[in-house]
Amino acid sequence: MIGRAVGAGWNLVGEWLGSACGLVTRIREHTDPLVRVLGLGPGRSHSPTPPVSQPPSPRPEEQAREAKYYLGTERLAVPAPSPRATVPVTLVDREPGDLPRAYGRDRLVLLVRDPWWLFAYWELTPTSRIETLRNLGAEAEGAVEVLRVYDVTFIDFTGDNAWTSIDIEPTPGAESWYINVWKPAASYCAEIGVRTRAGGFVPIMRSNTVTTSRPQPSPDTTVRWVVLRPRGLTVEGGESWDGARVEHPGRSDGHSPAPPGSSDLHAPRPPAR
Amino acid sequence: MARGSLALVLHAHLPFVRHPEHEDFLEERWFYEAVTETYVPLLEMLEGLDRDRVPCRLTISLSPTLLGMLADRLLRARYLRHLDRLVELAEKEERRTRGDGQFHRIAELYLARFYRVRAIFLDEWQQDLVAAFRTYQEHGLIDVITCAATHGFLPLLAVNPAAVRAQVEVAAAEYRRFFGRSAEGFWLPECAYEPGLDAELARAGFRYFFVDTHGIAHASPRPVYGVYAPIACDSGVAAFGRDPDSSKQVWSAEEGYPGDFWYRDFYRDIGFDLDYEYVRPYLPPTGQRIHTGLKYHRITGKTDQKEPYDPERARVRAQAHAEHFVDTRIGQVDWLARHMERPPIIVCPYDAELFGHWWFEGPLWLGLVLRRLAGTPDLEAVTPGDDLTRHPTLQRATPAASTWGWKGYNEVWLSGPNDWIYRHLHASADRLHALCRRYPSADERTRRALSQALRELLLGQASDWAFMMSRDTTVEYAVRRTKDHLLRCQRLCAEVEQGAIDELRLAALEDTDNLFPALDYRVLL
Repeated sequence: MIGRAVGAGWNLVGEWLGSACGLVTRIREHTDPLVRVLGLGPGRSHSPTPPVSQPPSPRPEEQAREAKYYLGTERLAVPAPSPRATVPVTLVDREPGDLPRAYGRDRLVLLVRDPWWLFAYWELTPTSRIETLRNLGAEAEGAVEVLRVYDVTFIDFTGDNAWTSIDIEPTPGAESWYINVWKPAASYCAEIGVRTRAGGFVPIMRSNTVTTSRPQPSPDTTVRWVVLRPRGLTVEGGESWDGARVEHPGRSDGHSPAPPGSSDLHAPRPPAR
Repeated sequence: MARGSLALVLHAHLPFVRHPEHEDFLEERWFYEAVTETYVPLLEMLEGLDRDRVPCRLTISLSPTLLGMLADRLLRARYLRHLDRLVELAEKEERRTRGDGQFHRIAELYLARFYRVRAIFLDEWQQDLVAAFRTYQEHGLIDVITCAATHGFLPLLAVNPAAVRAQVEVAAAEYRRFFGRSAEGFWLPECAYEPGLDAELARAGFRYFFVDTHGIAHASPRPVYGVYAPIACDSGVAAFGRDPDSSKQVWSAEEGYPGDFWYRDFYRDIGFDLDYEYVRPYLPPTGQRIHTGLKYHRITGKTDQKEPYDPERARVRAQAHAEHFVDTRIGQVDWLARHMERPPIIVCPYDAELFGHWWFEGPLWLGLVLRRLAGTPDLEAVTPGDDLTRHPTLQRATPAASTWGWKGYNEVWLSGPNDWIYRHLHASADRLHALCRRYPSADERTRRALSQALRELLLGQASDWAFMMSRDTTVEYAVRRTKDHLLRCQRLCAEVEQGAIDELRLAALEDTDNLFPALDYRVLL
């Protein structure tokens, strides 16, 4: 019964998608070139993932970690054994079907891969695409779908106050993209939208904001000491640090000599005395 | 008084691999092998230190999924069956190699080893290895800490903060269930940190966590003591950084101790070397050749012509390596102490399964290190919690986002082979989160359905699956697990949304994916 109910639910979603696609088809008949650039062409494909490099050889951690899963098998080339004949009915084996291709909700998400690369994935529902096109009216002609990435470092982004931005034109049908950002230790936000021939930009959806890591030591050499209180009482000083605090002026001197056999990157530097 | 401290940290983790629907499931061997080769040998080492009253402070992170497997009755029974077959194989080997001086003593070594493992598992601890760890914690030898519920890669789940909170809080609750107190430390899966995660740990009552070296070296403001003192995050949780030198000495198979030519070779195994019909009874039902755990050769060198293993010579090398490790650390703290206003702490985190499974002599080496430390006045073994209690004044700084492993950032877990998982992980978490908020107090059936949906979501979030896809290791299984758990989560959500919960199927899922029995979906509220 539940299966039927779930099935009926999916049928409804399917019908909804079907009608949306039907509408798309009708629009396509009239605005085929535009629709193509907006990624409404047949099929959905993942973007090429240009910057993904495969590890040439594992670091020791990976090597040892892989050993945990190493049984001397050839990557499960042999299929898993069949369920035993005496399987109780109360056990569950593989799930039928596959994960949904779409969730029926506009969404754009940014994830940080490393200090220089972001990963974006999105879902843009047919309804939103169509609505955007309609609203553009005559300007829809020649418009292109773009992924606009903003540098919003130290900014409460309102849509027009970013330091700078770049536009990426994803391959039609793409649903994800790797983005080479221009500087580490910065905050980024992105929008999917339509850029008209006249250069106007109509955002359709906005992502979360992410901050990339700093791949070198911080220029901030302020030294501030705090005293951790025993468990449960957090810390001393200020708002959440209500107690002993020792401020040291920033230091500009160089590192101490490195300990034997060590890189000076992580060697201590004596605090100001 | 010691001039510095050494914090040895072992992170023990396996993904939840339990397949009651199959009589014999290949991947369950990950667990059996780790019990035989790592967890029991570590407990045996602790038993020796306890018996000899050797002062010892060792930190061990036991992931909640591993705790769940160690406590599971089905897996215990299957492990015993596996061990019995291993004993049988070793007995056959002992007979087969009689007359071959070189190999017979190695076969005897394995036989004695497996008898001993069986005695420890069955007779000494009545199959309850969690009780064993708890006991050594109560005796003061170890401090057990926890890890995210299913080893979720937290920075890549943080789009939905409730998902991160569930990973942290379920882990905290499971720890209390097993150990009767709260954990002080939290092992961030893959050492994956991003600013803000510490606030979730603070909220759940944790005192400290670990990051890789560059997490501290690139912290802001710049830490004056580098990785040799913890720093305090804004949330009041302390971050300890990994010492790169001691890490390399132990981690690296080429430059480090485990690559010594006298140590046992990991890859040569009788499962591949001996006649197929002879080893066939000890292979999986599919008949594929796999590792049995009986390996008779030493690393020898960069050659395929491996020489027989010599346990006595390996022991001598382990002793020398233990002395070298401790002496090098003493030299390190000697130098560091001259430049610091507090005693330095050297933090050495390792995957526990490195010891015994990958590096056969690892547990022996570790025991020798701990014994040598006990007799060394200049260097003291501590836990991070000990260090914070003694030296509560910390520099305030925010660690840099970082992970351990290849390249030091998220790429292993976010790259071409695995990036497809995130849209599904996030969508499932959002859907379940929204649904849970609609039912702040659900009836019993809905409560069970939502709690099981959360179990499935957590299982799908395990970083192990992304790791396997990225490393091209058992990819098919990793993909299957990701999809199965998320499909189960989504289907349960649909049933709750439609008010049509399939109770038979729910019960079946509860039996199959049965970890975290005390889990309550309201952790997501």
